Amino acid sequence: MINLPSAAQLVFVLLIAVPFSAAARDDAWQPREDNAAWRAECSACHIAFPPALLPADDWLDIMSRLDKHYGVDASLETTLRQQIGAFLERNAAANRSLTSRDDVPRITSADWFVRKHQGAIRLWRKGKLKSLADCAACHKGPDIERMTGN
Amino acid sequence: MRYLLIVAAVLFAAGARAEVPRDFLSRFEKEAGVAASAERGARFFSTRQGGEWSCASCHTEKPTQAGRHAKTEKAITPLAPAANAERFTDAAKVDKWFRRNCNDTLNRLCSAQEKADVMAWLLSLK
Repeated sequence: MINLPSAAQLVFVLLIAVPFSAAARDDAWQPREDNAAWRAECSACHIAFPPALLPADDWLDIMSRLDKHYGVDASLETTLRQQIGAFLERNAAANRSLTSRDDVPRITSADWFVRKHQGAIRLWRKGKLKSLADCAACHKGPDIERMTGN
Repeated sequence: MRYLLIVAAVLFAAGARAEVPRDFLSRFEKEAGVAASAERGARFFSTRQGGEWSCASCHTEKPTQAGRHAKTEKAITPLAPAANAERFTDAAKVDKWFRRNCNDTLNRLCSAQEKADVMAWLLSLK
């Protein structure tokens, strides 16, 4: 006879396991084409954020001031910058609703991000997560591994 | 024509030659016109120079061990050649990171002497 799950097990599944199952769909953000320069250069300091997480305008804005990149000099020589910029533009989000609401483009301030990351935002406010841009702190698996350049 | 091709091939081979860490010490010493000091390099590395960070903020005060990016938390492999054979083997990479990191820590480019001193110290680490 099959054991029916206890109420406690059901509560565990609903409260703990279900919210983290979102990670299973991380591959939805993978770009259609690969680009070695994007992966190598961006992942030198943070994961190479998938181009589909920002619209083209935001990527162009970011790539036009890499020498002042969120408080850090991330300048690149021209050819490489143009090559990565073109890749980001080709694979950017088509949907304007992904535009961030900050004065500088920020994936973490877009409505969809805030809606889906309430738990992470709580941890970040408590100082238990240093940066919301540290996707790999919670998201594990081969798709994230690829974006970390490892 | 043949002569030109040979010259081009020699130049290409010279450009493609991989560097070793000591090459950078010699290059920066030559540019600076003075001998490097590992002691001065050690001090420079771990002291904040007006900016928010020192080199050690990300690379740690003991760069034979792994560091962590002060802003993004991303793991940084050891900087000292004794602990990481990939370091200081590519001139484009070395120039890129000195440019960026000096700007971030000093708000200016590093002098050849500063770079020579840091190289001398990093090469002295076992």
